[in-house]
Amino acid sequence: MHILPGLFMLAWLSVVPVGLACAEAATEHTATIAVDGLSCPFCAYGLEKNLKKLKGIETVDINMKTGKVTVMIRPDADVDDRALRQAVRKAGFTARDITRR
Amino acid sequence: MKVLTRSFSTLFGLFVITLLAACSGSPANVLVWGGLGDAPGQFNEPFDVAVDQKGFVYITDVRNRRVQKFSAGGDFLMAFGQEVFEKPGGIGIGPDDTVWVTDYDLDRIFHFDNKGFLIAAWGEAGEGLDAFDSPVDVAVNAAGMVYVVDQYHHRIQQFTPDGRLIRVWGKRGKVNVVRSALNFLISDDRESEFYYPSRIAVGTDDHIYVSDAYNNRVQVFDAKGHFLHQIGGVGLWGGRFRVASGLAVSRDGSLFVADFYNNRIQHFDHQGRFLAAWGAKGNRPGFFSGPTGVAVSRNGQIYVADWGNHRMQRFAQ
Repeated sequence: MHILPGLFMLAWLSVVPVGLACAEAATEHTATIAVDGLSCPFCAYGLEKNLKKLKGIETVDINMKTGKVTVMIRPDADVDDRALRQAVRKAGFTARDITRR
Repeated sequence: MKVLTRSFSTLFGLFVITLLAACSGSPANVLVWGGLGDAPGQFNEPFDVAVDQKGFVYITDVRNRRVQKFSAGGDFLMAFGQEVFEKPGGIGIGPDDTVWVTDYDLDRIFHFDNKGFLIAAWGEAGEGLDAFDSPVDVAVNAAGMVYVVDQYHHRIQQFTPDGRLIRVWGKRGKVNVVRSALNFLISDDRESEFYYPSRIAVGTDDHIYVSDAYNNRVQVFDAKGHFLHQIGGVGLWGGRFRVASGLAVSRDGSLFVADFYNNRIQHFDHQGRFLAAWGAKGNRPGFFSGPTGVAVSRNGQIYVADWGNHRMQRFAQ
């Protein structure tokens, strides 16, 4: 019986780092897309709409001055670069670089 | 050689016209209101504007997901639509002073009375002739027919007030930028084709004016969608556009067009001849940061949705 608290503590210590790692991944699931020619609402609204149609996209933030689009993706969603590029193309643009954090 | 001489004389003529227009009296800025925020009377991306017959001003306030209604003097009266909008886009006024609004993200048309009560909503996303992909503007003629700019389908649709499709015209077509720049010498063709059309207005003669945004021109049609003529082409001088956006027809039949990247408003007579242009990039009164909407009241006051400055401006002729 004396061994049980020790085992419980050991199990807890082994699980905590995994949990922390998951939390870190959940907060850092973003993609930044560099898109040319984004400086008017007629462009931005269409791009925003097409990206939001992808399952798992939570928010889309477009910085028209830098041409950077930041997309927050749900941790459990699988949105690959190909899907992001397709959505950008459907909106009438071309994605240059995609960086992920 | 003949072509060169002709080009030079045409360009010189255009330069003189622009200079004369710039020197002639442009409408005076008489009012600025708004500013970035979500309080009543503030805006977060004011996108389009319409004025009813009594002079009340309605503005789509995109990021605040609402329409705001003001007096002619810019006094806030009410806001409505927050419970139904995702991204309110274009706005138009019916002959009975009811208010029509497109929702760009929801692919729907909303119809309100002038107190902000929802009368009807119709439309859906899809590929059918009566479906939408990002409806960006709406206009209503004297008979109550509703015209919608279906932006990502690059076309115009005409509906009855209850949403029954009457006709569709237009298809995707991009004018080559060199041909567009030189279309005063050689026709750029592509009549009734659009490349991301942005705004629509009905003229006093029931003609339909469409801002063909990324073809840098305005196309004019009769009420049944038959092409009549076009105005503009890409360029910096008077009568040319860099992304044609908001447009409005005044009671005398003349046309005002917001010229997005040139940060100015241009004025044309009812035959499409350039009259005047005013504005430049900036945030002082009379300057713009990407104008996207224009409306003209019955007494000739010109309202401009100054999108990037998050404010409204009023000009008197």
